[in-house]
Amino acid sequence: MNTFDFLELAVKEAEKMGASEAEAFREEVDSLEVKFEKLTIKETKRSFVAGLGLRVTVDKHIGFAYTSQLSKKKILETVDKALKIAKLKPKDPNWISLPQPKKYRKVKDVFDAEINNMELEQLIDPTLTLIQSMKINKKIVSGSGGISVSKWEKLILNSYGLQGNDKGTSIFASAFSISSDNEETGTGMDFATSTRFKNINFEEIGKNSSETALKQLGKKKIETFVGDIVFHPFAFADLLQQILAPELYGDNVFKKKTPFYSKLNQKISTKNFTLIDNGLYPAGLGSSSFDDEGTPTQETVLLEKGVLKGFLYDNYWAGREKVESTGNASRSYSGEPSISFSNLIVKPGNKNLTGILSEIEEGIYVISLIGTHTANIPSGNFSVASYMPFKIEEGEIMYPIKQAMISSDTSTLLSKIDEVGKDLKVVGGVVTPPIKVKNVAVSA
Amino acid sequence: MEDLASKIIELGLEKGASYVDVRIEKGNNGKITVSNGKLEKTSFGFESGVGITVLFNGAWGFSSTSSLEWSKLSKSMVSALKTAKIISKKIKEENKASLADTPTIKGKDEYLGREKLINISLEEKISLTLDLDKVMEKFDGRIKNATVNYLEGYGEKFFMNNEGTEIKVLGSRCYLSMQAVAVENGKVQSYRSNAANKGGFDGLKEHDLENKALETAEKAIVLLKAKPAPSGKYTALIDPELIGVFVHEALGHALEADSIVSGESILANKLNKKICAEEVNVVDDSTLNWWGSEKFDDEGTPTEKRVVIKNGVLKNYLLNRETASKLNLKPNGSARAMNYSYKPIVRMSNTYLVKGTYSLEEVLNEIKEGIYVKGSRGGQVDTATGTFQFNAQEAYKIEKGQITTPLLDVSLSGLTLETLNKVEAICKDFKLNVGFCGKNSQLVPVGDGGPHVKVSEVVIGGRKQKIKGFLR
Ligand SMILES: [Zn+2]
Repeated sequence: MNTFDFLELAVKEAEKMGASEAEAFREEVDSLEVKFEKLTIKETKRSFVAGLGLRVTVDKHIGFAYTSQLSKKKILETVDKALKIAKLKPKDPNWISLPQPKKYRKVKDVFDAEINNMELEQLIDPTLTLIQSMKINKKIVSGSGGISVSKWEKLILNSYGLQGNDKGTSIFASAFSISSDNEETGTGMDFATSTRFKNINFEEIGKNSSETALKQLGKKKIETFVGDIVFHPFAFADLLQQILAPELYGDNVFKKKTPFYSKLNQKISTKNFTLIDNGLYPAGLGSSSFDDEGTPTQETVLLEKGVLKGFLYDNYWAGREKVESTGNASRSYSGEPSISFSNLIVKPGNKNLTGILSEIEEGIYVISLIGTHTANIPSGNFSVASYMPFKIEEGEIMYPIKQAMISSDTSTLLSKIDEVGKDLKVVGGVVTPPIKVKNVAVSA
Repeated sequence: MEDLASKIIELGLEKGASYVDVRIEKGNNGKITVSNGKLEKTSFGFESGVGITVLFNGAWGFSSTSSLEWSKLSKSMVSALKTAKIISKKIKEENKASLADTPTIKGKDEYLGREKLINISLEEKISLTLDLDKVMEKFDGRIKNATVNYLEGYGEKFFMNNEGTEIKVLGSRCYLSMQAVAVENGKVQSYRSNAANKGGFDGLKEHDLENKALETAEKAIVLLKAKPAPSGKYTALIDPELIGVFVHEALGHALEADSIVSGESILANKLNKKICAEEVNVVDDSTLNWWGSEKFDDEGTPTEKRVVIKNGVLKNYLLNRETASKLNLKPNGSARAMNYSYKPIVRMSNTYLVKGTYSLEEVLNEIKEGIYVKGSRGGQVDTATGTFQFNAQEAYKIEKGQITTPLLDVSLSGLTLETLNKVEAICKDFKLNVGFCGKNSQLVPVGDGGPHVKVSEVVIGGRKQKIKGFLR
């Protein structure tokens, strides 16, 4: 039996046993990784994770179960469990149906044959290159990081004849440098992600990381102040995916668990800021022809020139809000779908980083943030520590800062976006330039 | 499972590995989500797999697969070893891994509780979740959303290495989290709480869950009246829940010996040195009957109660076999993996600050101006610089020894060693909490806690834009 036969078995068997609808979802992820520590290669890892999730409905009673083993016996057990759960659950009058088959569009550059055919040992030389490129100065005393590549495949089949099969690849390379001088420690980091191996410049990652670590030496204490903040794409991507994105998910909108639930078509940011979710973004790490319940993916405008234009939906929440699914269902084989962004793209502006910095009288430049996961999603409030911060004075980065906290909320932050840079950086599923925000409280 | 594991180990040794261990896991995991009286999600399933770790001439190889078939497993072993051989040539002699000795044991542990999860019907688990949701929803009309999550896992873990250690663990854990969202005049506030048990369903129900649900809803309502918090440096009174997060985040992660060995911890080279006030004693105890404990770690080492700070002096690190060998110390059972698909890394178990002598009243009375911070929404640390951040669920002004105005969304940040030196009073109360800790993409159950503690000059990040107006 091949994999698709098991999906078919699950769906057919569920229908036979009384399901009104059934949907089988299979996911396989095969990853290779080389790690280094203390600027020397340390270990290798290979992992293969796969499983099958089965969703059934019996007259609007929804059930779900999964298994990581593909055998006839385990599939039949899973069917039995899913149906049993469905019968226990109360009827959901808001359930409409599983998605119907629709035409899929192919996404460009999500599958890289080079990664697909890669053997673990082929990652060793690039790792050595990365390590070498970190050693730019004898003040760089330690460094860790690694390179990992993955290939994934997903398959879906439901009672309406919806059938999908998609695959992709990804690479993640990272460096974390430690510098030391006169008992002071500095840290620096850089990482790059892509769907294609050849898009990664290992030397650049190592060099950037160590340069930041050197620049972080000579830290000074600052006083609490209100000023401008320039977020490096790493920091801004973190804010977007941890805090803002969930506030634009249809389930949170329906439940009023977001400050933006009643703000559709209202101005919530400045005219500089346009944010799009695009599941078809070429070479996007979150791209795929269809989402994890088989709905075709699409481009969804979330904010256009500061105006809130849309939210993200999966099949169920779209049904509840009487809109179309935006193709943003996400899951692993072990869970029911929930809403998630695919690729979040910030529309670039015209200034480079130097141009943005040159207009700032007093502010800070923040490469990364610590603690975004502690934000209060329903209110949008967050208070996070800056990581690798620098003081900006009279248009230039002057010195590294010992400690600075940034506190605001998403509504306020969006309304104070003053400048959107032109140089986009791919940070996982987020693509953003540096962003300048005016008048934020910085405590130290 | 024994036969399969021995076969894999034999193959590894035959191909030249100096060390091999095999971890086989089979288990059932489940999740129930209830929101606003409605059963939103239930997912129950079976997961199994094998993780294989090999050491060849000082180089690690790790390979895992969710398959239990011999053909996949032997391939998995061969691939782990092949790359370990290649990288062993690239590792400098001083950086090569070796393993400190641990006793060879045939061990067993079982924690399934009195009311085994497998024997509790799905109906009962669902109805408990629904009931708690209802308690929160009914508390006040301003509670616009109540969510309860139930998580469970039970199964068996089998460990075997080439040194003759064999360990079989049969265990289960269950976990509940509750969130209430209150809305009034466009203001949205939320409060979260949790309860958990290592063992059966009986232990979870003993937690007075209904009261916890009531409290969760009540606190969300109180937060509606909260005022924006100030920013700047203040004296803080930290409650046992948040002090647990402080000890875990700011200190515990820096005590994990992998960061010590890699030079990424502020506590490297500080063993037997005084690092904080004499009153400070910190323990990580995996022998407690609590959420974060295990009898054996995932390298087969029996776990211990580790006194890490005694009277302000750094006494020990959290060590696995590799880091113990590097630092010439004894392994203390701190290697943990989230599941078979990860190589074990150095982790905490239940970490706490030992209680002191002051009464909460006398400490509070002494504070003329300050901030009382309670509960936690989580935190994070960079061990290399000691920069930490954590977020309180509740905060109040302290004025002349009195707890007054509630404050909104307060975070605390600082540098570990500086902050530890500013601990001014440790109270004699004590509480342990439960949670999950994430490190290198691996989540493991951990406990933390301590008493109320007074700390001076903590950096508070609030939302109030007035800089020097408040208190100082
Ligand atoms: Zn942690």
